[in-house]
Amino acid sequence: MKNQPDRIDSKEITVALLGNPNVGKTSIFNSLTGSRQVVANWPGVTVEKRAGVMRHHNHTIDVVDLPGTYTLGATSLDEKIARDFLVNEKPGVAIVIGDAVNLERSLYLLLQVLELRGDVVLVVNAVDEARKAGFEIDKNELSKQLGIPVVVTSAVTGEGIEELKNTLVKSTKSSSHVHYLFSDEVEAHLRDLSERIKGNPSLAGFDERWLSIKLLEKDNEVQKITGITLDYDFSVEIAETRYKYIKRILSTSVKGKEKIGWNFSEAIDHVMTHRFLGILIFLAVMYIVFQLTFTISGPLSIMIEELLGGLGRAFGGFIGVDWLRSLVVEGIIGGVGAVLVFVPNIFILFLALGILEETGYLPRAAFVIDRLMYSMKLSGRSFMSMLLGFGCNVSSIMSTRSISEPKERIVTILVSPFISCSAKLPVYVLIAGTFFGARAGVVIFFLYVLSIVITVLSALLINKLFFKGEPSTLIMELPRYRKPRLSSLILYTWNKGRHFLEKAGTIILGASVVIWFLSYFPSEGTGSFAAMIGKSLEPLFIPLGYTWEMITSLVFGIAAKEVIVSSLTTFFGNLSVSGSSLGAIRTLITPEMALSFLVFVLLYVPCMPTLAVIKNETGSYKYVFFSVFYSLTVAYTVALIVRVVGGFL
Amino acid sequence: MVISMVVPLSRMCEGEKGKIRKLELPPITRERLCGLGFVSGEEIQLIKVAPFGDPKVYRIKGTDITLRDDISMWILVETSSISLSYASKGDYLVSLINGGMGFRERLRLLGIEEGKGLTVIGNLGRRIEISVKGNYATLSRGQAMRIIVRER
Repeated sequence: MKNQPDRIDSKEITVALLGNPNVGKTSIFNSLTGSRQVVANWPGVTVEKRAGVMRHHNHTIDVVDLPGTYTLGATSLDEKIARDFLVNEKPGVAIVIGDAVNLERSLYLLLQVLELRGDVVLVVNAVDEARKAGFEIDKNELSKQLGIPVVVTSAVTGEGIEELKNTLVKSTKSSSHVHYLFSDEVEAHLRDLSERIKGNPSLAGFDERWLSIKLLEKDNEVQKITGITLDYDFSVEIAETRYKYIKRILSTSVKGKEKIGWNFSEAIDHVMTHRFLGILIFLAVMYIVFQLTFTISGPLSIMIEELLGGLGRAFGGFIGVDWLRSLVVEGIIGGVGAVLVFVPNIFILFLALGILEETGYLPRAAFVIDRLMYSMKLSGRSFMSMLLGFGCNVSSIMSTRSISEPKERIVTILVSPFISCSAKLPVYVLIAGTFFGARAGVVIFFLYVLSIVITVLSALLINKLFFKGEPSTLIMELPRYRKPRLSSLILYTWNKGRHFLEKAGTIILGASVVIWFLSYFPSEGTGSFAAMIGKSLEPLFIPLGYTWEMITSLVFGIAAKEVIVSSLTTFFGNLSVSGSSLGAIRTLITPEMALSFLVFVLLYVPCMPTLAVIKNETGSYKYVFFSVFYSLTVAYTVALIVRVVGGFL
Repeated sequence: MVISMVVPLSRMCEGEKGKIRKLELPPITRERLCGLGFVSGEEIQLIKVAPFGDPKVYRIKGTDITLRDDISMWILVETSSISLSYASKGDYLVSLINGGMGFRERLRLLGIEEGKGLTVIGNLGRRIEISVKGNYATLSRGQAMRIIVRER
């Protein structure tokens, strides 16, 4: 191999990707960076941040994928993140990715970027689709008119990607800053404002024309930075001027007209969003996603559990010290198991979500079901997450990544633990079977109904508490249907799955060791700290009538809800008087206490893995604490009501 | 003669087209909509109504955008036609009937056909009174919603 000079002539620049949602921005990002990418959250918020490294001819370029936006107005969190990044981080090059089929709207964003800064490259993506639709884009003309480099690409066929890479390594430091003119009146205002801003040294880092435009558009943030508030509003006129300018550019640079006739997307949409068929298809898709996520992953999870069980036994044989063996086998290997059992589940979930997202069905699903969710002040986007909650709250919360509005996402994350997950079902079956015999089915049905009622009420309450009761808005594009691509699906699934393993995984593992400690010391079982906690909490539960064994099993249940079953059978199995494993419990509590206990199990603190993903997805412990205290309060109150009312019946 | 009318976007009928006149919305929402092409003079078409009646899909600048009525009721559009359900007293021309063969056939028996005229003589409460070539008829609101008329 030749001795290469250690990238001496490489220069490090940052490139930011901007674009409307659904223009194939992520595909371009993937094409530029390959698998060299990191998915994280933007600091302090729930919006996903993707960053990667592009290597090309000895150049190393950092690529940051900014959230998809339609404007740079900072009216939504996505826009604010994109704008702040451009303003504060000043990336070397800003790439605006446009959709060849719908260039007009893409150029609207481009113009706003051009108002802000120079060194902009326009990428016209999906050019293959535009050709199919019957029009040709004259990139030289477009480039001449806009005064910036233009690259025509197709992320599907790979066309233009090399050219884009070449353009990026060349195009730094041209610093051309394109201006277009507004009406005389607006321009006069802009001159005045620019003068005022120039006089202010603290605004030296900003482009004064951009600040002035934003002031005329009554932009809140810019009003705050500059301390200038105008009593006139030109936002409508400015927007119209931009579109007029775009129309003029497009009239010379796009040739051909859209073919009239049979349109693939429209034909599919006719069925997918049909009044009756649309709902049937929606239900079928939801059923398939649910089954894929929980039925197919079931046996895989069991395999992983058994494998780790075997591993634990093998390790246990080598360790002579009792507590150390228990720590390794139950605490650490058990904890790793607690993380790994979610792996099939999470990966299959994101594969399914990826397919729905890439094909473009997800917004259609939201459209079909929106009216129902609107009554909870949510939108159709949160339906699927809630539905997944019946399988597992971890999957449910992870899936909220597809909800674009932050407010709605937080509400959905906080209420989904009230949806009765499948791990709680064994508890219902055991207790209801013991106390209610043939009527156990009715009891379990009641619990599911209660679960939905509390979810709906909590959504309304949490919305009121955190977001003043404003319903989430629904301004949503229905993109063209696309064939999902395997490579991007794999990347999507891997990125999200890895994120879960790294972030939530560590929390779950740590919690598992803590819980092991509580249940092992000072002596295992009834003498443990966990049992002490159960006993010391007993006075608090006198109104509910639970015994300390029941309370202890609830404490253990925080690790995972199905653990309640095993700890109850351990405690009461030993006390068994009548032969049946849980016979003893019937002599200790009444049926209404049992029902109230079931209600408590349904509603109380989310399990550790769920709390871990709440922390991970909201990026804040505030919501974790809220979730714990709120659920405890609700559980205690409703359980008490059930006990008291049940006592009268 | 066709007289154009200004109606809220939410009141358009499936398939109907109009031109945007004004957005009477708070600046934040207005700006988001501007980015999607909702500026005055732009042509917009109601493509589809969701199964439960709300939201609706509109086509603007070649893309399909979903809006709920809580927003679209504040977007004023100029349209030459409206649903019969919103028509006040006067003479109209039927421009479009949204419905299957059965519905069209029933309307045909009343004399209501695309391209033919009718007169609204009363539009209050749950039924709409019309007269077609001198014959009196009443239609339910649901039926009238699916008949698109133009003033003449």
